[in-house]
Amino acid sequence: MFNTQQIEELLEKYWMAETTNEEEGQLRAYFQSCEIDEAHQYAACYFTRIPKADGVVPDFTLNIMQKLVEKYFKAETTLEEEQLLATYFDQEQVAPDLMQYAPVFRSFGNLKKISYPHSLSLRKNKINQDAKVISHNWLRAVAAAIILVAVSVVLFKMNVPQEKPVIAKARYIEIEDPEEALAYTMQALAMVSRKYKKGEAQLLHGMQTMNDANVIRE
Amino acid sequence: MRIFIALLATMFFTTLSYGQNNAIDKFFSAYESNENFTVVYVSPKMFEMVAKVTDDSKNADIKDLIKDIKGLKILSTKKDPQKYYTEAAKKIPIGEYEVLMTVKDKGDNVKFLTKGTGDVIDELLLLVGGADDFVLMSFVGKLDLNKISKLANKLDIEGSEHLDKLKNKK
Repeated sequence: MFNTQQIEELLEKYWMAETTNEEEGQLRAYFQSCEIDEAHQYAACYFTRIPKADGVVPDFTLNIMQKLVEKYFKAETTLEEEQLLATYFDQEQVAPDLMQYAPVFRSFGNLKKISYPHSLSLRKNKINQDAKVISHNWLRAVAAAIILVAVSVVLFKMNVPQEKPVIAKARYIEIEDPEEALAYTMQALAMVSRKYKKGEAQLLHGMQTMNDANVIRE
Repeated sequence: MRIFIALLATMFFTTLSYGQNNAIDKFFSAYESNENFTVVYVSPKMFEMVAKVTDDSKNADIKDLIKDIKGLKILSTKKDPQKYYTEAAKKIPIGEYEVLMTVKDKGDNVKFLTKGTGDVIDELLLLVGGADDFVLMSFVGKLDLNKISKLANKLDIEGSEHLDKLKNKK
């Protein structure tokens, strides 16, 4: 299907970074097919996704890498190419010309490695626990203070009308002579006793009537 | 937190008991601001002095009765007596007072209300609503109603005599 000669030429062009997108597509198709000439096997990694574990170190030619980087920044790279770039920048021998781009590609790989050294669990973490306790205590204190103030205000308002001296419009007589006080008290008591006796008498009378009624019935 | 709760509770109960003590004063003050009323007030301190003044030999019974009285308040009016009687009867805090008896005496409606237990009571409230006047009396102190009823005549006479004496003095 694929002309070995033609592939050879295309690869040659590719190494020189002169291939067009179309030609690269052809190459990609070739390497994804099962009829790869053994002589071309070395270049397969540029056009197919390489499994990480197989340990193949691809041939990083400066020209190609430069082109890939350019393509990357134009957002035209394929996933395979991006992986290639990542592999390239991960290794030690990066060309000085491309060194400036290294952080871009390295960072993605490094990001995965970043982990938070402390446990995120709030209960297990001592620092967080302390912070929690402190803030809780503060919240409680603030809440209690608010309630205290509110309650005192309410109670104070409730009590104010009682404590206000009554503007006595009525004829108010506070007795200041003991003799007079005695006289008033005795009069008052006399009234109580008179009414009380009357009440008792009525009660007796009522009971008498009831008794009479019962007698008649019997 | 516990301290706060304890503090709140203390504050709450203090005001509560304070409020209870004032219930009857509040009740009186409602009428004290009415110009149609006359209020007579004998303070606890005055009662202490009365006890000293009372003639021992002549009024031993009366002295015995008076010595336990701590305060007396009399509220009276000649205007709309029946209206005030009904109003006052409604205003009395039912939870605090117990109706001892209700008497009808020649057109006078009389209500005895007490605070306390048994024969000896802590406060006696007397409401009288007649055709001509309305009287509200409050005795504070230990009172024995049986003793009072026994001394009715004596009290009546002595009281009137005392008042006459005072009037003649002035």
